[in-house]
Amino acid sequence: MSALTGFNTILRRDLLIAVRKGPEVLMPLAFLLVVVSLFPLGIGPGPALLERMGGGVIWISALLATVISLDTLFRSDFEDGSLDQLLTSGIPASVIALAKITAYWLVTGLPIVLLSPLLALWMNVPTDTWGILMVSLALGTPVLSLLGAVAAALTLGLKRGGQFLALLVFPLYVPVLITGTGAVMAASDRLPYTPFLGLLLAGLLVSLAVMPLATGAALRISVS
Amino acid sequence: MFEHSVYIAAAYSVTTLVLAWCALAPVLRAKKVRSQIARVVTRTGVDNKQ
Amino acid sequence: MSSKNPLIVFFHKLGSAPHFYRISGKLIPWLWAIFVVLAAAGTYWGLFRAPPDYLQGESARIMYVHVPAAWLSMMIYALMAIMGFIALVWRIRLAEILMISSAPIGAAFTIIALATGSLWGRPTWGTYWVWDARLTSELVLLFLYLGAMGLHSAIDEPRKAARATSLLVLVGVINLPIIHYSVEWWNTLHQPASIGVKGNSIDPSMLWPLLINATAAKFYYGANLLTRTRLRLMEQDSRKNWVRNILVPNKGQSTDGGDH
Repeated sequence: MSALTGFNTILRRDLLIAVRKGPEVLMPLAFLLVVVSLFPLGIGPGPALLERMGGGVIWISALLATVISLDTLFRSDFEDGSLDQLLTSGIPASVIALAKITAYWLVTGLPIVLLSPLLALWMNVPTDTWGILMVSLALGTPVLSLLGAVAAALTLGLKRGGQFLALLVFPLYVPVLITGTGAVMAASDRLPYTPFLGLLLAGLLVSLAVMPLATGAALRISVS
Repeated sequence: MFEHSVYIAAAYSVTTLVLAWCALAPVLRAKKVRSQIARVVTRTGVDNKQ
Repeated sequence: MSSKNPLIVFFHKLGSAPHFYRISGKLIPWLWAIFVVLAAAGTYWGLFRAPPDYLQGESARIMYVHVPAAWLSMMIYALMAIMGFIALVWRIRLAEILMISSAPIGAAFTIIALATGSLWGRPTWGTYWVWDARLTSELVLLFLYLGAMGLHSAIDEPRKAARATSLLVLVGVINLPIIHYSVEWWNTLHQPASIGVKGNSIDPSMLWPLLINATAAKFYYGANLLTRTRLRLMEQDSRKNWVRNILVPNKGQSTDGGDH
């Protein structure tokens, strides 16, 4: 099976599984909504404060939602043995990883991007920055998925692996968070935001090039 | 003499304590491990790989 | 083995556990001795002989422990990455053990850098904690160390644990400069006033104690690393004859002293 066919097969399979699972798949989004609404409840509904914190709060919440669902990226395939089969099927491990990460992002990351206007409304973020917010998330959430995948792959065999994930992934996420929120804040301060978006794009391209390979290697280690 | 001597003392003390603990921990553990292995060996002999 | 270069033979033997154990055992006391001498000299110089800083006063003396600790914290992680790479590519057990034994030492230096940085900050800039580039990067580095140590201890099989940790460290080391620069940049975005060591223009009278302490720290790392590596070797090979012969030398004259 060629790499491209393999990619498509795995992608379609994972998306089908997600669709069949139904509402359960939307749990991270529910978590996202809950977390964002906790902020005004916790710090007070003052519009100026919310607006100032808005970009950061939404980005952090997106990050947290990604982290809590990362564990599911490989775990069910690992537990029922299908990951083993995939790895010995001749499809390169990096392609397997990329296919699963893509499916994962489509199911968890993309909805975050689409939901962000609602979150921006809650956090009193001015409407003219909504576009930049969405773009920053559209570029950033795939990076979060790609970076998180290697941590998910490394913690596969562990019983409490899921808790670990946050610790492992946090250092990797710091630059992404800084750049993403930087874009939103620059936009709301009427400063140039393109450098930030450019960096996010660069990060995405580099991650696409490197992370599937690292994740594939990590999968092989975990399965061995 | 020094107006900030509390902070300086605290900084150097923390350094000493952390370095000392980091240096001693493996030494103490090595003692424990050595006596554990020696106990097993004296019971069963060197070549008896249990 | 007839006409082999003795240096090559030496390194080849070093990779074998009993030889490494023996050679490192001889080396360790020397490393400690040099460390003590250098640390004493550097500390004395830094505390009593070096002049107080023009702007900061006496509190700048904390720099003589903070900066070397920060340097070592990063150097050790870089070394771990190199060892991890060697371990991953060539599957050399000694490289795996050296790597994981370095982690707690690196974490210790990181904690020292954070604590001394915090204590330096209070008299100098008025606050115990500030999200400046250096402290924030050190904090993230601490998480990298803790993550590596945690992952390694969570995986039961030692060689698998080493492979997984090596990969994690490699991913982390690629990320480290990215983290550093992004935090620096983030800092300049949000804090117009520049806080931090006025690094480049250090007077020689302040530079010397710094370098001496930094060198001392490297000897500390060497001595501590060898100690921890020997311990792990002994633990992993506890059932092998070479360990048993060392610990209980009279019991059972086994001719098989090598590791397998």
